[in-house]
Amino acid sequence: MSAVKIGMASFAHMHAGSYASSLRSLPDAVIECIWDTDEERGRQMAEQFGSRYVADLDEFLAADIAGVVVCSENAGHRELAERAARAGKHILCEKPIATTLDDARAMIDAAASAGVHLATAFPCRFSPAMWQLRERVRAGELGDILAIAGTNRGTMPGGWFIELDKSGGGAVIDHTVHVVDLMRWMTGSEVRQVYAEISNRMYGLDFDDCGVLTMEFDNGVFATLDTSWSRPKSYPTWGDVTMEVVGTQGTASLDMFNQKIVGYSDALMRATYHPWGSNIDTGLVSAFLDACRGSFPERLATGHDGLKALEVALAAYESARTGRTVILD
Amino acid sequence: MLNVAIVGAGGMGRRHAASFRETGEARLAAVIDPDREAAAALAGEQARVFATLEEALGECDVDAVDVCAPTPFHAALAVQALKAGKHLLLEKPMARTLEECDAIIEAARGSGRTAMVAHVLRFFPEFVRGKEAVDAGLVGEPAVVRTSRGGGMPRGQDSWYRDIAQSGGVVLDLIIHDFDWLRWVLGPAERVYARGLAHSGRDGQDYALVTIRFRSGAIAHVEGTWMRPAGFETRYEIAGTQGLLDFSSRDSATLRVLRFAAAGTRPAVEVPESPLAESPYTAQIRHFLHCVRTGEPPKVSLEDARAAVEIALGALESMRTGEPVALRYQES
Repeated sequence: MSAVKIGMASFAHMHAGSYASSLRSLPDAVIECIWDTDEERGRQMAEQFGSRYVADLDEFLAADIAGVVVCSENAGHRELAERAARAGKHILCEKPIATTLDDARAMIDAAASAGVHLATAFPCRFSPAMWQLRERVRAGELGDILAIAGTNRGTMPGGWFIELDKSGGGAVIDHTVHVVDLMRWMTGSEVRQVYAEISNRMYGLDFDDCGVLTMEFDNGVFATLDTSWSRPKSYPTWGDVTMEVVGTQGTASLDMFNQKIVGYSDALMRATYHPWGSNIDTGLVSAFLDACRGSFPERLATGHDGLKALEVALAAYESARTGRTVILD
Repeated sequence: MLNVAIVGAGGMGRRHAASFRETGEARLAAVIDPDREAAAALAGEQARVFATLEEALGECDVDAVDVCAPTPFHAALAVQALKAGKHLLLEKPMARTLEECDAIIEAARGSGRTAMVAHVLRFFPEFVRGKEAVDAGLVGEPAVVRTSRGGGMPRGQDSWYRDIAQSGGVVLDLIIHDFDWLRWVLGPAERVYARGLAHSGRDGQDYALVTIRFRSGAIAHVEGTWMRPAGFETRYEIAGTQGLLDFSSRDSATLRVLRFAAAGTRPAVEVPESPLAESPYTAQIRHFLHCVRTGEPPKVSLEDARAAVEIALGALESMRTGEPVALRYQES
């Protein structure tokens, strides 16, 4: 199998580093070039990942690359995706796919008319526990699914994540999309109603840091999702992805990052978790390499999947504004 | 020695009877239950057995009535006991409707008797420590709070638990504990939103996810389940501006006994067992007896108990309407 050449478009999102590490670890991938608006960061990453930095976006997109990994600030996804599509490159876009539904639709259209694949970076689909859960739910092991209680909590990331013109929102847009995608993917059903309690009580600034969503799916399943940036600085890890799935025949509890050893360090004066689970980002970028070769894996989320998850996050904000349940079409 | 009449010889009646006995300060004088066999088994040789509270109060020297009957009977029994001049311990939930709660409050007013609803969580050390830690400022201002409670569905007389019209399901019967505790920790609630199986007509199964907004701005998420095959478990997490508190009954168990064969029978009501020097149920009964003796107001006021019922009924209404329900009687 010949190596797939990939370009990394921006390291603004911290996940870019993990995707680049994963690409480096795969024998069939090459990080051909790196583009970034922040030249210092771009050059540093190029050095770290054995690649070359290209300052000009047109030059970057003209390079001999099959796919582009977009990890800019959320609001910048659309332009990068549209230009990559026009240059005939397949796209793996960091989540949330965009900050508005119009942007997301424009990206999907651009990819479709250019005949390239647009994938949304939902690495949790590549968790082995999640895969098993989905398989077993779909095989009927829990009977009919009735309800799901999910969490995707984290520490407040700071930086551009709390600049609303770049991020599109705080904790709710950041942490709704992963688990909503998992719920859609597992149940095969779409969200039709969203209610949310949202606040900025944690930091008291102009971004939301607390969110609890309640959703109802087309098939009648109801679910909640805690998206809060509620892990304190002293917490032993960054956060979590969990789901309690309740069915007529039983329940399943997913704690995606529970494969850990617990460390206690006098130097840190706090406990720390050291994960030993399979690297889900490697599964994600590996699937994207397949897409770049022409066959889009079923497990990889599409642009449409990214759009549907974004729709729920934006509906949550609307619900918090109006104090009402928002009905999705 | 206080003479106590227990109404309802089910799981909670038996638990309370044991706790009254443990205090050494009370004597079980009467057991009231239409199921005479159950009543007789609980009464033993000391107490007398009656089919109705009226007969018991007429024939027996009773100082306090402990109502452990199914929820729909709470209000009538409580009012009857108070009007007869007896002290009252009333199992949670206070009543099935707010009107019934008001009737109890009305009967208690000016009665000069102790009237307390058994929100026993206030005597569970793990829940008391959480409240104390918040009050001491450990987490700063609480912002997002999560609780979870449940196991299998309890098996009461005539399966009254599974009839939502009688028990109010998991929301009114079980996570009312959490509603009371959350109000205790976070102050008055403002609105509630909920989804659950209460109105789904699923016999023998109930599950609810309830979101409460508090006046302080804090958000609480409460999970209640009678669908947990792993057995009874409680959890809470309080995330605040300066830190976080995390509790899980499973993770903090001090004793696990595992046997090869599935031996023994499940109790009719699953009660969280804590290997403590004194059971929280006994601590609660001690507090009740203390209030009776001294005339001090109970830690849980009737208004507190009513406010918890209001949250539960609001959650059930939200499930019906699909919209949030404003809570109006939440002054603490």
